[in-house]
Amino acid sequence: MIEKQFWRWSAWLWFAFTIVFVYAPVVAMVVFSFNQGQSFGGWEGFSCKWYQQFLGSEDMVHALSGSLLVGCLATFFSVILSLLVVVASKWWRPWWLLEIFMVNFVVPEIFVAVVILNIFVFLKIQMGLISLVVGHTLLGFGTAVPLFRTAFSELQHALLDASLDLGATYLQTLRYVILPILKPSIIYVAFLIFSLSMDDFFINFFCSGVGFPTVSTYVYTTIRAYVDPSLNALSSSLFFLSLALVLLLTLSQSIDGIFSDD
Amino acid sequence: MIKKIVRFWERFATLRSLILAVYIGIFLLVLYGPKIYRALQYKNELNICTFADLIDTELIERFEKATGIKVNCKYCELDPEMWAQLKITGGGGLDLVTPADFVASRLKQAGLLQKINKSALRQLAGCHPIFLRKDFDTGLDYCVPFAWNYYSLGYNKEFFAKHQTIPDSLQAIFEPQKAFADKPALLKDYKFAVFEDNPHELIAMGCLYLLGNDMQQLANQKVCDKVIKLFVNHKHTYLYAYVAANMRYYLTSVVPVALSFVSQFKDLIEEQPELFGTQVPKEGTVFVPQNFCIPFGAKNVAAAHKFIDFFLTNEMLLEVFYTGGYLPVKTALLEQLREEIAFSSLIPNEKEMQQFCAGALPLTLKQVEQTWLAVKTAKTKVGH
Amino acid sequence: MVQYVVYLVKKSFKQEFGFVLAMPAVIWQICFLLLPALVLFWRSLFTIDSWGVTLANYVSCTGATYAAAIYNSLVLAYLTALACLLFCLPLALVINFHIKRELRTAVLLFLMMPSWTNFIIRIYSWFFLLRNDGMLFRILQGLGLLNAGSSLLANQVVTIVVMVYCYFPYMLLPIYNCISNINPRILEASGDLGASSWQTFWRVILPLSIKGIGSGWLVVTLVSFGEFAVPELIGGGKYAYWGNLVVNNFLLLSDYNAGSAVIFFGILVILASLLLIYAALKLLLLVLSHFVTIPQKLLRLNFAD
Repeated sequence: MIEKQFWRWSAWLWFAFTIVFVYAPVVAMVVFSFNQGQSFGGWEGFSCKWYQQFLGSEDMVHALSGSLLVGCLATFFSVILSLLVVVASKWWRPWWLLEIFMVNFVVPEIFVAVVILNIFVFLKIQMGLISLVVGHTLLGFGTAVPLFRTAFSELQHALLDASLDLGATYLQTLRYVILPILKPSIIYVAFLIFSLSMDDFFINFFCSGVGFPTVSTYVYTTIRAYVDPSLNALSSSLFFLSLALVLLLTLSQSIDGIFSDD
Repeated sequence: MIKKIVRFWERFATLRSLILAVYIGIFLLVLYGPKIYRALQYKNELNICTFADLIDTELIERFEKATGIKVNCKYCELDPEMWAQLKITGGGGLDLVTPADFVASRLKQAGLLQKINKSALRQLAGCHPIFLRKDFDTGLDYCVPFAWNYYSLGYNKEFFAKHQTIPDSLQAIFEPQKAFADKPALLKDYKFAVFEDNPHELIAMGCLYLLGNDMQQLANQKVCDKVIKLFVNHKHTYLYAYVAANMRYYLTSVVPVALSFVSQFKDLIEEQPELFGTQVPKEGTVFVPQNFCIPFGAKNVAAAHKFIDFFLTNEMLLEVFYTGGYLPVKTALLEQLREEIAFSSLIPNEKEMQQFCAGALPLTLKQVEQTWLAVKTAKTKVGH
Repeated sequence: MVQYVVYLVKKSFKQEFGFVLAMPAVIWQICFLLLPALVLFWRSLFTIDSWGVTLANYVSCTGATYAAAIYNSLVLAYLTALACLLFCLPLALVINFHIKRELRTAVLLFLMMPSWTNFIIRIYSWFFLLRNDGMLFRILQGLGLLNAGSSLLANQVVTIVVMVYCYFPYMLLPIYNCISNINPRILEASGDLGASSWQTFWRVILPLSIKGIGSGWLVVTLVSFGEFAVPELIGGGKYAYWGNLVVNNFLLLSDYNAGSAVIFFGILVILASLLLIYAALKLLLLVLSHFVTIPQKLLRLNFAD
């Protein structure tokens, strides 16, 4: 009994420590983004002025919109293309079809970034939105293809055969049978890839071009010159954005049970 | 074997290859589309590559309002990056760059710059003679210097007043035990910070400290090793403040002295002259002029000349100083700034300027990288 | 003409459905990743100074400074993986055994949420928290835990802490998945048969979760090998890493040949070291099994998935 109590207490202790560890920087950032003054040691009163400065700063808004645009485009292409590949693997089955996407997942991000740099320089295309979207989509393939693969394999293939036998064309099968069943996975994967693309640093660092700033490159370069408290406002806003997305997803019950086979 | 290929082709000839061709066509269109679109539309735009603290965005907006030419800025952090940018694109894509001397000379040797049309520039006169020397073999045909910076020691006056001394020589950085031998209280927990990770210039500083002005000795590997050893010996007291997140933070809470560009200390001294001070080292220091250069593949050359002309006016050179801290190259302006009390400590006098060293290293960029890597990968005391 | 095109489109959707659907992604992958990677590899066999195929770039990777930087990265990667493991394993156990079933997904999401912010911003927020003029430093100084001269930043321990903060989700999810798949009846049985909690852990839980630990370790090592931003921003930039070598060669020196050689060499090193460690671990367990009884599953170290 005492042993059980001991484990119970130490478990809760570890859990509490984890929560503190994971949330301390975030909480500090959010709290100080509402700080009146500029010092980081003390609380000087509540004020939203850093948010106003952040929204008024053209550079920051430009960087943020750049990141969001790249994120949306990359998510769109990643999800659709990897879904199509995985679905197609039922009907066109060369051995290498799904294996070639394993590379994105296994190598360090720097490799992908450098490869993109190389090819865009070689093709003499200017770096910018296109190179970023290409890079982020490649990263997206790395997460999306394995996840869709497991989801698709859990689908009962008898359903597909039945629908084909009953006279539906392939397209109709795709639209009316496969997509509704895979909807939770699609939403989950889309969310994952969007956050992966917003968080990304290495590809943005190597592949952003003239006049296309992203949040990562913007923060990296301004931190070198000075610390701007409106950076706190920027980061808190991004955190609230992901918080909102997660709440939206959980409340809509679309992704229950995603993490394990409960 | 051949039969196999023929059968393969016959099986897949029509439909699949057609589909493949359609998809590849779409890809090529999307990739090259914007490029073709942009080439068809000519806009009066200027693409420049510069440093974030050199030309403030406000000044660029002033240029845009005055001339109506739109400016796209790309920012680099280190001079060699500018070199790499131009080398990659072969000089195209950018209309104007602002490299330091040592990069400008390499660019010229590689044939990546084009001659500047001096007759189009009306504001060229009045440059201080120190920038017209032929160290870098640039002449003024390819590069026009417009702002410069030098390395100085910025320090926390209160800390050093407590110990009744000031750090006036590079010994405070490289061999503090000797410099402050009689003040053990000062040496306890003594650290210094270096704000820029510019290997080229830091190696020049090390060489300056060890051997004086003669940089050519660095061609000898043994001398290089001595300089490396100098940095490695003090690695545990050296803080490379890459996240130069506020000089104020570092000079008040972390280190008492820092070696950096004088432009980094300008704001501090302006606001709190009784707390922060700056000192030109006794042995002399490295100075870095920034030049305007026009790459070989520049498209909008006329706009580039207008930009250079705009920024060479006295008014704009002073604005560059007030916003970024880079000193103007014209002698008259330097005199003017020396008169102002707030900045008198920042502008060196003529005698000090004679000791300035241009930092022309006889090493290739790769050798500089190797040397600096040797410093960075050397082991120091445990835990640092 | 148009009718013929429409006919072709319809026919391709009927006959070659798989091909039509899969091709965009495959072309994307091949053109933008696989082919350029091969081209890079080909380039790494040439140097900018000389002609002809040569291994000079790879040889220079084994030179003193480059090897030291790669070694730094290796050490960082393995230390991060170890620290992540020590952090995530108890955490996965706690979530699985001490939290109600309905709340588990919510708790996991809650823990993962800060990792869905921008990478640089995560690093920046730690920098912000640990500043010498920040609250944490002042509190610790007030409590007397820190001397006057020391600093929370610019040392290696804090670098590892922040690396764990950035990469622990990659370790947590696989381990949690594995542990949650353990049949609770097995644990009941082990309790009934008289095992203490510690014994249950070593003999039942750990062998069953080896798969998750293995895949988590693999991912964290591979991802943190290429890291150079955290040691630079938090650790004070005192050391060079593999990532720094890559940046120097591609962005500063513009030497794509040497840079590609560095990249491939680095990937080779990390994969080879993982294999070596796997072999060494197996050997170690084999030797130990002569002295201490070790569960079969642990002995076989079956990571395959």
